[in-house]
Amino acid sequence: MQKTDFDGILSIAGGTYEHLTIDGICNCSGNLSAQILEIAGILNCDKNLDAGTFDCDGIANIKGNMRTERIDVDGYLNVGRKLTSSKLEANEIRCRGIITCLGSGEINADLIDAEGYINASEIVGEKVIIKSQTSILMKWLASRFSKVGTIEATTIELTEVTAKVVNGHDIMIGENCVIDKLDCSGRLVIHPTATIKEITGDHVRVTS
Amino acid sequence: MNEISKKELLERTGISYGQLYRWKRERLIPEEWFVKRSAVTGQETYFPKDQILERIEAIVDLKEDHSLEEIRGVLGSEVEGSLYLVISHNDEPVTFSDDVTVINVTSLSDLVAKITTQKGDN
Repeated sequence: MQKTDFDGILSIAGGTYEHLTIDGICNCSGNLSAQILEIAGILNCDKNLDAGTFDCDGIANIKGNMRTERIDVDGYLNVGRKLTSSKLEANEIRCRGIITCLGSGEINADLIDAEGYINASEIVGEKVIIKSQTSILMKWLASRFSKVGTIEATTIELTEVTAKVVNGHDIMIGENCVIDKLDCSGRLVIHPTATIKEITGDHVRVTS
Repeated sequence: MNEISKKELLERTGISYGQLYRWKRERLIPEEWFVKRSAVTGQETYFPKDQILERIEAIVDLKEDHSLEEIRGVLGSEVEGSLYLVISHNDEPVTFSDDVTVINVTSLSDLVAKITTQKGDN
């Protein structure tokens, strides 16, 4: 597999790469595609990103849609732009940093496992786990980044998440969550410190 | 249009949220079939009832023996196929001689361009 390294500051029109590493600042005006994309610096992409594996330790700002098999974010990833409807699609998303999906953006993945923060209008998939970190820095960021519109998945586990709607089969609502509406059709666990305004669905309540 | 809500769809077909959204991501269910609408309970998603029920039944049947990629091909969303044309002149079918030319085209405009080129060559 051919490896391409981008150091320094450069602008590209887009393209297809096998293994692309960005250590500097890369501004891309077109569609970008790579089998492996690793970002330790900054990537600004004006159009769509298609990648097999996406590993972001730096900052990535994708203004179009993003489609990958696996995403690993320890830095910051933003998909979409305000007043648009962008999509972030992946088989697996692991986040120890921050992911935001601006506008009416949708994150769709089989597994979403976040110990950092995710901010999106809609998060859907098979299993969604969001457990916000408790460091002072991340607590400060949480006031801006940990809100979600709708979460829908077969299995959902949340800690310190604010959401308008949560729909799922097996749901675990952890500490300090604030949920407007929750619909559960299987097993439901709610932590005493969580606040849920409305609960519906044919579920079995289990004490945490 | 006869519609069905997402919740009713999941109950009726027995599929999970995860399956529904995986099939959406894999382009087995067209995105335009997910119609979001305001409701008393907030925002609800509705589907064209007959189309979505038929599609889910097909996917459930096919997924036992086929990968999602193969199913996508069977369902025709990304099939590379053949274009068959019936050519007539003054409402009479054209009779081809044995030396019929086979041309591969990628679109209707590509077809027109290639026919025009071949006509010019003759």
